[in-house]
Amino acid sequence: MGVLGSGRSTNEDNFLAVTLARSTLGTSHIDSVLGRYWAALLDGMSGGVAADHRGSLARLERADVVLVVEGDIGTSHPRVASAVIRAIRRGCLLITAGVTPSRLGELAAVQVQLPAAAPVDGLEAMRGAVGGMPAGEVAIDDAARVLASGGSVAVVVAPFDRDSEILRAAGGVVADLGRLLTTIHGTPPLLLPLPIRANTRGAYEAGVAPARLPGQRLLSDRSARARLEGVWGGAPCWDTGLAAEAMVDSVNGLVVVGDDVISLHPRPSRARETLATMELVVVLDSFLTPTAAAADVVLPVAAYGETVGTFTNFEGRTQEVQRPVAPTPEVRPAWEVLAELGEALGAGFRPKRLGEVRAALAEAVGPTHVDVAPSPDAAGVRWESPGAKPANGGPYLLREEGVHEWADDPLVDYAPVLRRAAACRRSASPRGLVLMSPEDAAALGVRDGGAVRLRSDGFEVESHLRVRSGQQRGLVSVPFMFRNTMAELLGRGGQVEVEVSNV
Amino acid sequence: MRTEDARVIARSDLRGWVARLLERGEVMAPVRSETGDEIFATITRPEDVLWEFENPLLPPKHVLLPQTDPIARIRKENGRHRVERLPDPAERVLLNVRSCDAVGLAYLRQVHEQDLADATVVRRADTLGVISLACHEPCELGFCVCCEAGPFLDQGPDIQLTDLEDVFFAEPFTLRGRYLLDVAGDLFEPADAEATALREARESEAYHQFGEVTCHIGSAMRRVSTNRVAEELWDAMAPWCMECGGCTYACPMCYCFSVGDMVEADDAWLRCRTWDSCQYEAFTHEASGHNPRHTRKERMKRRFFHKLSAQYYVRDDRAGCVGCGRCIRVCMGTTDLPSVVEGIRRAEWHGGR
Repeated sequence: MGVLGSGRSTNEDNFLAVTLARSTLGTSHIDSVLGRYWAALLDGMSGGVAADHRGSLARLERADVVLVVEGDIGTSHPRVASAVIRAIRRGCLLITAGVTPSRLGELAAVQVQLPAAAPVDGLEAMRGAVGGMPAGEVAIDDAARVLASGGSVAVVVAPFDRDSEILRAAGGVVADLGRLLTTIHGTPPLLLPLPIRANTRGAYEAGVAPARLPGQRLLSDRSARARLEGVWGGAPCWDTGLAAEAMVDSVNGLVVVGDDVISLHPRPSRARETLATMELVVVLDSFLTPTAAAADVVLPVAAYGETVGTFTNFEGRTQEVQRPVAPTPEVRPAWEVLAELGEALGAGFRPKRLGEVRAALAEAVGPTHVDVAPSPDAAGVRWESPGAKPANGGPYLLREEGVHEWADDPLVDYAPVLRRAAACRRSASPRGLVLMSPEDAAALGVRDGGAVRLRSDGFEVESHLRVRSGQQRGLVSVPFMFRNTMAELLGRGGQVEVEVSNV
Repeated sequence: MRTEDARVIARSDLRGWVARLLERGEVMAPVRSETGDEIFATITRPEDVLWEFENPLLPPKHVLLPQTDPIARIRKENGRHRVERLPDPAERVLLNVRSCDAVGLAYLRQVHEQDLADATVVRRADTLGVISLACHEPCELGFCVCCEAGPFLDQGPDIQLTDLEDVFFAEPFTLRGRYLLDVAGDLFEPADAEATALREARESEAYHQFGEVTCHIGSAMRRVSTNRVAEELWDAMAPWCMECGGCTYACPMCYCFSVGDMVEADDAWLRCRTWDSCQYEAFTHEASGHNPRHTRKERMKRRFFHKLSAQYYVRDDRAGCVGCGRCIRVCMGTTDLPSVVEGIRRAEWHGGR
């Protein structure tokens, strides 16, 4: 069995999901689909050691230099983008680094285009340039000069790739960069990894992670284990479990708490097929998501606004929410449903009140962490320029863009004016959509709104084309919402070399 | 100032008046919510009304234009569709709106009466009594003096109240206003010369406190209306807007909407109007697939043309702003109206306020 928690649920709900997994069912397979991106960034930044990243937007707004490593935080994390805008208004210099052009890049003093095939290489080059080894590439050297120029620095990293290893590596490079900047400026920069969704950080800190205990404790942490044994009783499972995607492929049954595996999965069709082969799928949710529709049992639970609980935002601040709306009588908070489920399965921990859950969570999390002190050493890397891909003659790199689509979120789905733009894009591009640079499109003889054929390894797909100013030559991006149309070409990976021709 | 039938009521009698208003129908007023926020809400007790407060973050426009507004129920019976008109609203009173919001409500009624009148909105306005409370101190971000929307008015609400400390001065601007004062019976007395003089002095002090005009809408209007705003300026300003729609939702004068159907049963659905924003990408997306305002810049141009152009000033007899300052407070970027007006006036943009 596997259990999925989510950023749509409260900390208390998620802790009961962890309890169900490790204590009651005796499984280590506990994760959330969106949590793995946050976990990967955090792991990379922390060097695998638990750390307490409590950066604040207030500090970000006062920074002299902000580096944003992003997909497009103007869309994915607007509150953070707003703080960056305010910082710029105060005179801060913005550096953006990304594979594709972003809205915030229009306000940047320096825009660094990361190489599509190996984005971490670009970050490593920037780190090397800050460390005194110029990359020989204007934008990167400019960015390094600005970063080293003095004053306070903030580095914001949004999940820009669905490959956890790339995010982990990027986090590591950013941590190294942080150490370098500490040496240069005398004070550590603000490092702000961004989770997707309101309570993804809270879920992770409640223990919704295959390789962590509540409080971000390592599985091997004896004192954490002892505290949990005191809370849960019995012999909990301390093994490392499967991450969400692998879990879906491997387990015989799933309990899903507020997560929508199918809509969030990189390959929705495959996820749907896999769920259909499982012996049992139980979903606790407020909405009839595609995952709930595919479940054997759906247990309705209170939605945000109908429940009392705590959430932890990306700054690390835990806040309580009081419900402004009472749910219908047959609907209960997820933690209550999970507690009853656990009791029926013989769980050792059987809370009856929210206060008991909170007390147990606080006991499990243990004393608050402090930041891991950065080590002073850092090594630079000489960056070999990959060069721009030729505008014709290919091959091109087909690459997924983004890791999340807000329009698929059930809360957005119920707000017609919010999902309208995505709905229009889908209906305007029934064959899917890819994005290409103006130079590449011109070389292929394809106009904006035309159609292209993509081929790789015996597979062939036709798609609508949009020309995007600022797009890297040689890069064909497929937006996350259209990823399913490229599933045959991409396989399980997030990028593949393709031949592109005019239709 | 309009002194015809002006009256005064002792501060200690205000609750008695509100109690009598409650006897005749629904009363809405600024109240303090459970979480400590100031909001406009329906009251059940006179003591819930706030008489000293900052202006609530959201204007009371939801009284005329609910965020989700059912306009008709449609049933399918025997293969045919029947449209049911929804019940008319009962008599309601909205108490203690600030001058800026009172102007906003009057404007919303006016625009929905033009051309093909919107019967739903007009019926609501017909059954709504608006009692404003004049401001004697400026709010932190407001600039109503730049927009002919405060701190004192001579038309717009049904009654304008002025706080004279021991008493409140009440000026009825409409027949309904007189009626709402008559409801209080002998709690109101005719205003004497002393009270009238104090009321005049209060207005004079208020204008002195509110200071000079700081948002030069007329200057921006001239440029916008004569096509003298360079495209490059819009190019510079547009990236500072995050298209969150907050300005639209928080503006007392904005009324962009969309229409959709909420399914009630297999054979019945509720057609609803919902708040929308011209800043959203797909607001003008056409069935053909064409979007005349595809870019953020085009949407921003459109918004400020609607707010500032002479064409709309002539149509509506005023600019599209009451100077409440809410767009400044909610803007996630820096493209609130005063910042954009300043950018247009100076023909340059340095990131707004």
